[in-house]
Amino acid sequence: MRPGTPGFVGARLRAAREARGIITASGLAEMIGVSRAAVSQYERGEQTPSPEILRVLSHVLNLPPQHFIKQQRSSEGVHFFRSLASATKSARLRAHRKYEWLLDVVAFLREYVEFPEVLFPSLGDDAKGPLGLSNEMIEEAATQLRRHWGLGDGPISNMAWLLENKGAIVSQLDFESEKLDAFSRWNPEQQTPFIILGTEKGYAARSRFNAAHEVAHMVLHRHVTAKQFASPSIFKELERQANRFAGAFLLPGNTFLNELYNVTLDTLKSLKPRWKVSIALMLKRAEDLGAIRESHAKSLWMNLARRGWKRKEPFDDSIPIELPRFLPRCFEMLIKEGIVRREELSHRLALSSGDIEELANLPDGCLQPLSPEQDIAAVTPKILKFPQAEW
Amino acid sequence: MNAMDVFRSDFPEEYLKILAAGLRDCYRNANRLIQETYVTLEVRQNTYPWLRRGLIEDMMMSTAAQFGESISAAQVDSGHFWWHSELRAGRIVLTQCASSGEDAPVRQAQYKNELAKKTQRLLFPEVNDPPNQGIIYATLLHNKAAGSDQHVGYAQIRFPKPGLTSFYEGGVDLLVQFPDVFEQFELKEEVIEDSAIPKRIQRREASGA
Repeated sequence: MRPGTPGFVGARLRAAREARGIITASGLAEMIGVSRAAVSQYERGEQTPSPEILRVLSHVLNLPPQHFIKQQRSSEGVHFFRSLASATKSARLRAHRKYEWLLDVVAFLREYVEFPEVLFPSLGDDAKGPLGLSNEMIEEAATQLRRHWGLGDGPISNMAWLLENKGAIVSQLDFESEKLDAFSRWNPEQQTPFIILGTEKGYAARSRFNAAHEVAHMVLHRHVTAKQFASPSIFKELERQANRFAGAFLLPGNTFLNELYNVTLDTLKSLKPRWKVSIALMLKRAEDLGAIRESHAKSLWMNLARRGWKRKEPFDDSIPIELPRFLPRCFEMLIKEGIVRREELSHRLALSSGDIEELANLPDGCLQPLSPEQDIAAVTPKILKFPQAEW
Repeated sequence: MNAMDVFRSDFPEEYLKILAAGLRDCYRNANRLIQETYVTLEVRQNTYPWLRRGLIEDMMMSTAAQFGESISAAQVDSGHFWWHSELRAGRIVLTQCASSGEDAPVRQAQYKNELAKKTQRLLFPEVNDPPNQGIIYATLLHNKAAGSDQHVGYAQIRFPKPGLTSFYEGGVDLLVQFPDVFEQFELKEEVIEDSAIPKRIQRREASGA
């Protein structure tokens, strides 16, 4: 009988494969030199890989061997993806798997670190179902949230900091997909909103809007069920509501219109550095608030496209990207205070140092990995010798 | 005695705050009215300074009226079809003028120069009107904030010298003296503090070995 890997969790292999964007079992099989059936059996838990295959899997998937013997987290619930409809299933799956890893990272940090209190009220409860929110209710919810967070109606200086101060876990990930902008999820175990922003379209104005859009899901749609979410018409409506909320939150109607005394593209351009939102969003907001006639709006949209501002707007390069800083600070603190050594983090979290750096928005290469030999040695006694000791 | 001393003793300080708020509202309203009235950008740009001037002149008259006898206000013929508002409180005569910025010369007008010359006669009594009987000419200089027609960026009361190219010492910066008045209008950014600082969980050490 071939030696296997006791404690190997097949679901972890499948999740790791999906996190790496390897769509099929046969794709992975080819990479590690085994049959498709073997990979499928590993993933279904019908067979476990030999230590040699585990080593290859570990290398190919760039994950420490102990990654595959940790229990898989339950992943029930709804992910609110802000993406184009054409975003591939694989891109969404990859993002979902990275979210699961982020949960592991946060759970690890919670053993040592006090997290900010979560101050995300549920504001959509009065509506009769997810389709019951009127535009007036959404506008009111945006105002309520500003007041709940002690904000007036001025431009918000930093969305990422705001969300972290109010208890959200914010991370910025490379989704490796131009069609996926951000996603969020209310984690019922930790009673915490997770807001994951993409880095692909790295413009601050876009990222701030994405953050506000995800906030909308967290405060308005927390109780939407997976079944409701799967309905295309409901999904479309939820996205519309989140967009409306994001506009209302970032550009409160009364104050924005006070400054928007003349709806031209040049006026909107002049307001962009102050409000740090896209010209397109301001134009849409002016439309939503009835500040311009339909024909005027139409001509402005055409001019906006003509100026090439659909692809890239003025000031896109000059408004600094707002980066989350709570998670990196947690790691800095743990390392600085000697609670963990940087080189052991990969082993402790069962993730590659590069993954931890990405999930926690740490500088590239700041966590030194153990050498593969050291790493295998660290896990081998558990998976090979433990059964013998039992007997 | 310098011009500022005279101003302080003769001009009601509480009026200055009303003047500041009035100026703030005139800028705001001029903008709004222009936007509501004209469609073409060029027409708006041409018309805005005139409308704003009219609103400020009118505001000076109406606000001064609230002060009864301590401030008198009059529309004075400036010549060449123009009229301007003059407020008088004690020996102070106050008019208004848009300015291109701090220490920029006051825009030339015969009536302003005449008023400035009268101030000179008071400050240099050898010229010589009897002290305590002449006037001090003060002007409210103002301009919009950079990049915004509807916000006041500069508002000072200064004492122009004859020739209108320089000023006697002293003055009142309304934005500095009444920041609350202008803050009511200026929408400030919601500054988000960098306050998510992780704290280590303090655990009680297990007792015993």
